[in-house]
Amino acid sequence: MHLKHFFVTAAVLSTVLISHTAGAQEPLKIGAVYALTGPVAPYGVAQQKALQLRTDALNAKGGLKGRKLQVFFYDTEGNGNKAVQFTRKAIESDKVDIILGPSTSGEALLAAPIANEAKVPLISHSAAQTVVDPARPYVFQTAQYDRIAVPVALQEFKRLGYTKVALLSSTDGYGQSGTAVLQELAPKYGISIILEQFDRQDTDMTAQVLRARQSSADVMLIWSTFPAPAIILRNAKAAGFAKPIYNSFAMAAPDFLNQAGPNAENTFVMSAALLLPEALSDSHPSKKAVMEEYQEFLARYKEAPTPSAQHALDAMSIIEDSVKRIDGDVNRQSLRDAIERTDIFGANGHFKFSPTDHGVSTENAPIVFLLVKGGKFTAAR
Amino acid sequence: MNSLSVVIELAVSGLVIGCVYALVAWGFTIVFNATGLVNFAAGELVMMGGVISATLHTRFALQPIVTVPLTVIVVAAVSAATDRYFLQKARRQVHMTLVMITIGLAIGLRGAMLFLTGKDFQFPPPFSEFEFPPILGINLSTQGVWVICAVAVMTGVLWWLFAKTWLGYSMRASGENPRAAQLMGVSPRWVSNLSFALAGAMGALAGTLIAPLASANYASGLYFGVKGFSAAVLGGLGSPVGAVVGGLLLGLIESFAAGYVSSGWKDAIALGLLILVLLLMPSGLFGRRATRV
Repeated sequence: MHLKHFFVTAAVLSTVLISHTAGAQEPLKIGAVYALTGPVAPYGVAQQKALQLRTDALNAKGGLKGRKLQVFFYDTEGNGNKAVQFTRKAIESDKVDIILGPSTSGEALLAAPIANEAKVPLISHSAAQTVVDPARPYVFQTAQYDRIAVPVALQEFKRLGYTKVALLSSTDGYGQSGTAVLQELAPKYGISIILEQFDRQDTDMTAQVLRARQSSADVMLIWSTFPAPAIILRNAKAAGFAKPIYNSFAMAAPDFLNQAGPNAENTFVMSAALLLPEALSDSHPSKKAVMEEYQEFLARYKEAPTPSAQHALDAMSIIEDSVKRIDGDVNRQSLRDAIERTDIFGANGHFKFSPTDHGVSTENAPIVFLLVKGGKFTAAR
Repeated sequence: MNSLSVVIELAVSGLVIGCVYALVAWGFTIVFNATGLVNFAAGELVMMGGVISATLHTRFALQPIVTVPLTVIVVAAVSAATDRYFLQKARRQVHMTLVMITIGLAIGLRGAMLFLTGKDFQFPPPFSEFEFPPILGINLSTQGVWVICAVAVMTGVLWWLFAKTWLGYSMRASGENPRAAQLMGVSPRWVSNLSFALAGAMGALAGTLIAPLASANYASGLYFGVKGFSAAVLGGLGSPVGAVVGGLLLGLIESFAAGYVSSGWKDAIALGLLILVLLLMPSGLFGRRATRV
């Protein structure tokens, strides 16, 4: 009996000792809740590639603070309900330390509160300001959002002397968010907005284009994701719309050129500098981050990154920088606290987080205007 | 830039999309007439028309003259198969069950198309490259002309089918009174298969026609299904004439509402009018029979 007791105690003691030492090498778990299929898959797939390349590179160097990075990918298909389900799964079953994503604003607005309540840090790749304003303790965002992009567009229109803008926006979350910000800020630049709307899945926007033409606006601004802008450009050409046409940063991707074809010629697209780094001036503080991210993506995948990739790469840069600053155990709480004190430059801009500011800075955003010429994106000026 | 050209441009735009709605509405109507069933997978048939023809073009470099007939045949066959192997096996079930099966089929077809054709929005080439010169300052899109011509031709074909051929008589008879039709030597099962095949062909045609204009994507089925169903109900479910009238009317109302009232409200206005019509004429504009649920 004594022998049996001895063996039981030995077994228990050794399991405890082994699990304790194994704890030090437990991987750092990252849950990536991305839209990998579905209409917005171009965004999610680019982010997945970017995340994969950065975590592989870090793991090759031994991980962060001796802990390897383990990524769990979840495909939400761009669906908010799935985003919520997978966020829960990541937190409860896979027990991740931090969540990256979701890829779109609609999903983020649903999934972020879940992470916040469960006290798990989440770095969103969405573009809606409302995800981080008001700031919730555990929710951060790397993507530039409309409140950053809109002033850049309005400033450009002011510089070119436009006072009347025909805004064609979709009725989904992205279009509505952009519309609200544009209508709010336009008067400050002496610009009036004429609003026309359409459903993201509508098949013909001739009526909206005709109204824009009738309104004698100086310029047309399209604020929508795929596939509507390609349809609008075709309708605009057929209706003989002669004024300049601008697209939002949602169209800063090669898919736009594929879909719109010759109708995109001589139109403008607002874009994060990552799409065409040479369009950003060398003196810009984010130029270094932009060039680095562009080169690493190109080297690994032999193709240029689309701007969605930078949301994931910047998130990893933030995590890397934050882990360095943590003394002691790297867990959900310590990660969150360290992230909140981040002050680095990423491809999206300046990340200077504080308890009230969980998004990228609005100042001096690395956004450029691209002109489509010869079926390619070129620097507009 | 005078107001007449605006009216014409809006009318043309409304007619083109109205024709597409009419084709989808026919899909609902033909099946309903022959079997009493509302096939909620009709929208997916349109989607399949678009993505299959687009994928045939991108992957095998086939031209529309080949992809369109091929797609129509394939989708018609798939539609007939869904009837033979799923719906007919459940014929003894309650009507509601059959409707649920069609919804399930719609989801299955959508998933299959995602797997087979991918997630991207594809814009296949228009049926012909010929560009119309501007008439009265209006640019007619060639594909739009194809759409209108196709529906005009189909109207003639369907009229001839139902009014003059034995096949058409059988389908109408089977829809009105399956027992009597059986006694007269018409097989309701066979008619049912055929009506599903025909609906598949209509839907696929609609899909191939609209894809060059509005893109083809695996997720677009629900949108077309809802529009087509609204058009069918507006015109009177069960009436082929009603389907065309309903479709064109829905397209025109949408276009003019967006052009003259407010683009944000166009869907609300169009469907609001649908509700108004149904309140006044519950069977729709041309409907004869009440729908059993």
